[in-house]
Amino acid sequence: MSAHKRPSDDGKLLELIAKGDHQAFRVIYDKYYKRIYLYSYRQLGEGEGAKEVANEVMLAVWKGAKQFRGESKPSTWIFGIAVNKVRKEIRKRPPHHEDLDAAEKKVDEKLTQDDVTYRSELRKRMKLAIDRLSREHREVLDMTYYQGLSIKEIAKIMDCPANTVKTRMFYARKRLGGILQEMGIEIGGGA
Amino acid sequence: MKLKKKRGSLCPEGMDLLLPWYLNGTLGQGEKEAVKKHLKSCSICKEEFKEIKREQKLYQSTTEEIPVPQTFPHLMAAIEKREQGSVWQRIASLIPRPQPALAAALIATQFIVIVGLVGLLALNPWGAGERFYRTLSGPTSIEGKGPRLSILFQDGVQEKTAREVILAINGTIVRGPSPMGIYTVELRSVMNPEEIQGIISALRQKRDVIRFVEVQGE
Repeated sequence: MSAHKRPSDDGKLLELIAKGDHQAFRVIYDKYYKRIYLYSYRQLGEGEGAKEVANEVMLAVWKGAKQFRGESKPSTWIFGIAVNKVRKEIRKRPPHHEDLDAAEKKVDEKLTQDDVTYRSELRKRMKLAIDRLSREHREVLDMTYYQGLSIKEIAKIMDCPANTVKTRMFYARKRLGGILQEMGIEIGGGA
Repeated sequence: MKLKKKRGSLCPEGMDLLLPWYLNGTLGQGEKEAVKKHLKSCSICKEEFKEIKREQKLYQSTTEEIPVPQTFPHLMAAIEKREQGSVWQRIASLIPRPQPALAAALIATQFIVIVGLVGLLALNPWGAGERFYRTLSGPTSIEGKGPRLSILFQDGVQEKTAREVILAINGTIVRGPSPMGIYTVELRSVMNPEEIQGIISALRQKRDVIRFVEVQGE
């Protein structure tokens, strides 16, 4: 999550990519692919689509590096591409009708106080809770908690004012907290 | 500890809205210092911050076990394939592209050359074609002033033979064949009666080819 701290490095790498430098592309790939893949995975809820989207994003970076003007941070630009690609992919897909209650019940059955199993089940419940959030809430949570982006960067990517980002995050957390509470999440002091 | 949100009791200064970004370290220096100072005195934000930390940790843990595919070689192969393009694209890429001004000059030159050639062919100053080939009939001969002969060829005479006969007398078919098979052939120049008679005599000697020949209008 240090991309936003080293914008000039990434900017230089994008310049090199624009000239067709494969090594520079490899560096950017190593730095962003995992984050983009996992972002797509969390948004789409499955791996195959996430891989496809992440590859498309990297291809777009390769092809579009010439168009990068440095008006935003390279990480903002790259995540902007990722957010748009994921949104496009979500629009293409039929509405999600997963039986979340049944899935939660399945997790309940497995829940034990064994530490390793407990943490694993906790993660599964969190994932279920995230799946129940709206796209906007998932996006703002992910960009803040996982991608480590600033309010300004998120505002640029989501094309909304900074205050909207703050309130959206507030309501996303509120909704997430409500869902977790419904699911009886016990985090414990060391979690 | 149970995650229990008390959203109704927000920080009066609204500092809790900045806490997620205080945690991820992206606040500006001023906001960062303000939040840091505020946290020392606000119990609501202090509690909220602890919850945000747990939330973030739990959030990040959801994808801990997900394997990330290694697609770089596949991606590079796709890029290289795309860059190489088709055979024609590669050939086209070898041809240097002229500058716009040069390209415009080339197009103008081509246009002038084409117009010039068309004009030259239309004027036909050397009489090209006429010298080497002429048809046995045609509009140019219909208005001619030469004498006209009526010729009836023998049955079974081939077109090639008839053609040779007509060309030998420098004639042109201007009409025919009639229902009786008679051709009207015009001689190409004004002739005196002796010359015409000579031609008729010559034709009449070709009995295996010509059945009948006479001057029209006599």
